[in-house]
Amino acid sequence: MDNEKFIDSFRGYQTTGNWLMDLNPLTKLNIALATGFISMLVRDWKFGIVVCVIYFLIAAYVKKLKGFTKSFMAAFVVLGLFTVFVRLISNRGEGNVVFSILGWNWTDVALQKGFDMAFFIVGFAGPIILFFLTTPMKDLTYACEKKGVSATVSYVILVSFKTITELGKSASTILDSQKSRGIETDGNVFVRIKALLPIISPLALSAISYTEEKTIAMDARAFSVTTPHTHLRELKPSAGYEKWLGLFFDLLLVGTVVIKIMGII
Amino acid sequence: MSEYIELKNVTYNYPLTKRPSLDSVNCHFEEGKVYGIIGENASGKTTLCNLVRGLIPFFYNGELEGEVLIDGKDVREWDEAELSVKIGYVFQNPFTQISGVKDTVFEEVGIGIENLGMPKEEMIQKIIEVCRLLKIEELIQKNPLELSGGQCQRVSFASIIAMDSKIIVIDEPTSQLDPEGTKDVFEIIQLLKEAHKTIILVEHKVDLIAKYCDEVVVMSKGTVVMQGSTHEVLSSDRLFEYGAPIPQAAILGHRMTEAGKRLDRIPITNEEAVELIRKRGGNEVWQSN
Ligand SMILES: Nc1ncnc2c1ncn2[C@@H]1O[C@H](COP(=O)(O)OP(=O)(O)OP(=O)(O)O)[C@@H](O)[C@H]1O
Ligand SMILES: [Mg+2]
Repeated sequence: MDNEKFIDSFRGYQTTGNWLMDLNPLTKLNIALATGFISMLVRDWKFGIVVCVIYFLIAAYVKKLKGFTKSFMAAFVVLGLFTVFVRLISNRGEGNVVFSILGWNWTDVALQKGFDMAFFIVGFAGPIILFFLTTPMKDLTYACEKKGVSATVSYVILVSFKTITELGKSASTILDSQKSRGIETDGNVFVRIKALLPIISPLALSAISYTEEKTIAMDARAFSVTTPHTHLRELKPSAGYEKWLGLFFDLLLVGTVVIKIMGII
Repeated sequence: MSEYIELKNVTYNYPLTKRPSLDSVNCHFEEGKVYGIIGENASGKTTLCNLVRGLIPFFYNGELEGEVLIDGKDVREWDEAELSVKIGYVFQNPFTQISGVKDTVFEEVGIGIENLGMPKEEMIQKIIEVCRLLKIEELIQKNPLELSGGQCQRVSFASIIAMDSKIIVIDEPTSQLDPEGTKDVFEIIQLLKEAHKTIILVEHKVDLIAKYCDEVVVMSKGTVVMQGSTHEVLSSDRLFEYGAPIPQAAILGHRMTEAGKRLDRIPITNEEAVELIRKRGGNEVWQSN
């Protein structure tokens, strides 16, 4: 992109062209949380499968299928299957035996409870993963600032996220250089921890002096000024229907809670 | 008012320290001049900057005695935010001065003026203007976290300059830069000088102080031991006693005096030295080799 065009891009609103992606970050968060809570409340693997299919369709629609699949599968395998396993072990008594391994009889009841639990977890994790995939952190803090959160708070949140990734990067750089000097860094957990220990303290120390200098530098950039700040990068003000969309999901959640309390599901 | 900043008998201790980092400091800075601050390590140069910038007492607590007048008003009576806008600050480490939250240099340069609440179109024009001035136009689309030290330092100058502070405090801006980065920084200082900013510059490269500053302040062991015109201060042999850096040309001048070949005056820049030697030695000095 040439500079002219690049500069021009700040004159309008920042959009991706996809209406779902361009929803106000707070509306998106609202919908994601409501959906997540609903599928947690329902806690039924059949419902779980349905909503998860929907999550995948949405991910495909916003062209984030690859990223979503990766994070979703990680959550599913690590958290979901683990709980299935725990359920299987703890519920060995009831129900009909489906199969047995090494003398353990695993029953249909245990399997069903396990899968309910697994979808309970990914049913909630799914929309949250989708939310973070479709919403850059800076858009979220921007929306919060518009709601009155101070620029300093949003700066601290943003810079913490960035710092964690940057620290991770410098840790791996140091590990790499240690490796090239012949220090063992691969292998089991203990080998890794032993390799990491000597670099943690300098990293932590540099992070402290970094914080002080950063504070001074940002103070010099008028962060303590309390007049309303402006934004070079602006998001579209949320359209009228967005409020209704959010409200719709909130009502669905309330409805689910009511049904749950009444004992229908 | 021409007396912009004035320190009267200022003594300051950082929290939990016994020895004061500033001890009975007296000095003054006038509007529109460029001040160089020199002195050995730990002589209190950065502390003086922190004080003038208002970081003492607002950021660092500790004990502050004496008077620090900024525009005639004591620093303690200033509004912290107002002071942070009036007095810009650029310092040593180029990388910690990058906000780390902006994706492009263009946005990074705008970070201060966003906080000042400047309307968007005005902001865009301002950023373009400053980037052009500091010759960083070709960087505007780059990720600030991927810049070299010299580029980072130019970008931090740009975000500060965009805010249009009257006074700019600059603490060792080139100590982590290579010669080319140093040259770029001093080009910027020259631009600020032409824009009649008041500049307070801590710098070890005393040859550059000789070239760019109107006045020099010398610090030693937490106090100001000399203040005067650049030539007067840098040509003084008292600098040896204070452990302050001395220009090559001045050392040459002092040596010639010791050797009984006194020049008209002690030079502080190489050009001046050449001129004085030429005058003193007549032609044979130059023709013999
Ligand atoms: N944050 C702090 N807390 C406590 N003491 C400090 C702090 N910063 C500086 N000092 C002390 O104050 C004295 C003056 O330090 P200062 O950093 O002002 O010196 P300087 O002239 O800038 O040195 P340098 O040339 O190394 O940058 C030193 O003795 C130092 O140890
Ligand atoms: Mg210093």
